[in-house]
Amino acid sequence: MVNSLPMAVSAGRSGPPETDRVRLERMFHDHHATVWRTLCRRGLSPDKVADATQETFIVAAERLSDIRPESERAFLVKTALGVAYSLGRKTVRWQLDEDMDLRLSEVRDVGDTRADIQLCDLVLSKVEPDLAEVFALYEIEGLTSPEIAALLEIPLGSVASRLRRAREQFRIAAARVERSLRKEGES
Amino acid sequence: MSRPQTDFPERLLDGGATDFERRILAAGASKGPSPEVLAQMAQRIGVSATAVGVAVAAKELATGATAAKATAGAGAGIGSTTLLPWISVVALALVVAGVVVGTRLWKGSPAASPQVLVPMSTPRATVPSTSSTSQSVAAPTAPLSNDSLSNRGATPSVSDLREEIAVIDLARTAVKAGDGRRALEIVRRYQDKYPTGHFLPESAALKIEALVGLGRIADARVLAERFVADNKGTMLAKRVAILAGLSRP
Repeated sequence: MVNSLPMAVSAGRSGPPETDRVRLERMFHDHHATVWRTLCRRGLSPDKVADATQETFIVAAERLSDIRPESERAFLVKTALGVAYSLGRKTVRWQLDEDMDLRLSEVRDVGDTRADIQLCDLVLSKVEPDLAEVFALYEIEGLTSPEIAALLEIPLGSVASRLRRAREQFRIAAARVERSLRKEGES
Repeated sequence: MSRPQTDFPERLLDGGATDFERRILAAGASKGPSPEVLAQMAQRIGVSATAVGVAVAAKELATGATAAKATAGAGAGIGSTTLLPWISVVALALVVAGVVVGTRLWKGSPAASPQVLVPMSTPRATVPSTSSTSQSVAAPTAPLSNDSLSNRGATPSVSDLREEIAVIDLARTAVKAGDGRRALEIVRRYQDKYPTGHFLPESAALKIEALVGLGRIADARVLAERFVADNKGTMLAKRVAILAGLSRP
């Protein structure tokens, strides 16, 4: 299918209304991190994440008039998932895929935010991908269950069950990591 | 951040989690791009870097713009706020060349699933020699690439990027002001200074636009045809084709 130029281009040099610009800026400010994290969870390289984040917001810019104000974040996340899908990342995938115990040794400064981020990824990598997606959207991104159901196109009940199972797996993995860290601290 | 529905459990971050769980979840929720990457994305999308809270990076970019202006010897007053303005023609070009490549199928309803997008990065392409055109057109031929910024070699430093962006912005301003000769000179300097620059496709597009502005349609078309062939399917190629009269808007 032939690509269609955005209105801003096809109409010549005149850009979209100021209100659209302000809205996109606000959306970017409010949600770029969520989009970024969503794409990171698909195991894309940092460069690809940056590209895909841009792509997501460009799509949003083209469809601003279609996006309901209360659905901006959901739209962006869904778009980001679509972009990731197009890049062959159809489910959650973690960059850090070595053995958990080996990765623990990489975390030298526990308490440091960066180390905690690694730990979070590490623990989530132990959760089944489908469950981790729901877990991350709910627990980290703060999406509502209906939003998640709509995004992933699954029944609300499935969101609940996946979240419950994800929590179980997350807590088991977190406890294991915490124990390992204590053990290393003692040694 | 939205609250979960009441029929769902309280978020772990809000209660019920151990200290360790809460700590790593909070860290996970704080994950985001670096200020530099954020500033680059903001610019490419066409939103104000300052508005998205990357004041430091934006300041660096503005400083770089000033430095590059001096380097280019141009007198036009361009502040950081004019860098890559909101989906202006060139802003979009900068964005689409690196990011939007190919087909986008976004004609469905807002609630519809995001459509499949083609990969955003495509192999580099090189514009053939322009020896058949006039001297200024043939002058330093730079490889043209439509792959993304992030895929153009090593990760660029902010200082490199800001200079490149500023120079490109100068060329854009010259084109916009109808000063095609100056635009060509700036583009030539850009392509000389940054033979593997991150905005080579954009510089080539500006060159073509400048030639059109100068009435050198034949030269512009020669370059445009090559550009379109080497960047087939990109929005920038479509833009160039329209500019050079190769296709209708």
